[in-house]
Amino acid sequence: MGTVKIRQNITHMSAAEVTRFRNAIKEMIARNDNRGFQYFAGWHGVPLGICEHHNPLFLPWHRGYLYDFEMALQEIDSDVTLPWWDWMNEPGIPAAYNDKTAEGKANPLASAPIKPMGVPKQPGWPTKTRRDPGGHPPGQPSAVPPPLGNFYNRLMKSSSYTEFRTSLAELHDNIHVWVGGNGGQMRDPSWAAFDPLFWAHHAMVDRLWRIWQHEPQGEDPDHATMETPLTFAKGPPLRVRDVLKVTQLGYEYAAQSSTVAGTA
Amino acid sequence: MQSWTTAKPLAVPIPFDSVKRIDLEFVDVQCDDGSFSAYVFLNVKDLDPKAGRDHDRFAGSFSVFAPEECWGGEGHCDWKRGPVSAFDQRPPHHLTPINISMDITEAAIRLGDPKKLSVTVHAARTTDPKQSKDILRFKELTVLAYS
Repeated sequence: MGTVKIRQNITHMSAAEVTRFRNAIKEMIARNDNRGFQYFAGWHGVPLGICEHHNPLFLPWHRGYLYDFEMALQEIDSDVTLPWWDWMNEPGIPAAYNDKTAEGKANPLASAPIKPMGVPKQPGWPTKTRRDPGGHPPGQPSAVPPPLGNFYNRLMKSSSYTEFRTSLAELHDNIHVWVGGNGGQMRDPSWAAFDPLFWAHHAMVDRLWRIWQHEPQGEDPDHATMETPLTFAKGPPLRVRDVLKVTQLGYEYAAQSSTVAGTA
Repeated sequence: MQSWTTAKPLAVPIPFDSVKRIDLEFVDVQCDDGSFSAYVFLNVKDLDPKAGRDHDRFAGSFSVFAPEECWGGEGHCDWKRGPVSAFDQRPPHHLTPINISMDITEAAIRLGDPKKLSVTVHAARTTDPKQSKDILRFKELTVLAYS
């Protein structure tokens, strides 16, 4: 068994760590085969659309999805992990994703091309991702802007898997709609995963599930759900039960202190 | 923006002084025609269309993440198509309607001792602010009170 890697809060990463992650994403975007960014984005949206939402598979499917994406990222740089965006505590989009430029060049985390693989482009399809955080006509209902920390305690007190994944899905939907604003791709499942921010958003969703799993009430999904296979375009065959322990997928969210020898 | 109000008030099913938590549940909310956001208000008449989160009868909000347009062929986003046979073990269509639950305990407490709840919902899509119907589409609304 190899060493478990830590997924970090993007805002707390060093400049060098952000640069390595950014370079790996840039390289992934440049790959036009089944290791590339467009390929994986197409699982969630155009053309495959095999994502799961608003049902018991929502959390396990996205955990497996991020795992496959992270493996592809680590083929480029084995030290890179998916960072998370702490929208529970951070107002707005993290600078690493929001800055238009980075080191004098276009920031690949701010916007990415949209070139769905294997299907002819249709009129009206977007060609690159954009965001309109919080954008909405004055006086009309809108998504709650981050930080969403006011919802944390209720979420973590969820007393069943159904209650937890439903509550977390509502926060997840809210962030998608808030980032997308008026016409941004994050508000549409067909295009959301083409936005690099999608992956940090879902790492946060996955992290919250991981934290709740440690709570006394953090139960597993029901038996039928546990045995359900997760549908992906490639990668190892995974059932829900195979993605419950993140350390078996090679990562963890908890910061770890240095280790000292015990008494044995 | 779409405005919808309960045709008749919903009864709080147990004495309010024994209520520990009270939820609204929107049943079978359709999520196949674009993302939207909704504000929910309780027991209010003649609500200003621009009423927001700071309104004293505001109870909560929710947003639904849904595809704006179907990019597939005919029937691709038709969630009503069911199993093709008794052997069809595939999961339901991913756009199958959902239930949305909202904890309105604090808002109900602010009303004092409500025996009935009139619910008003404002729903809007940022992509089409003039749309005034068919944004929030759902089968029924239920009040769930826990003692």
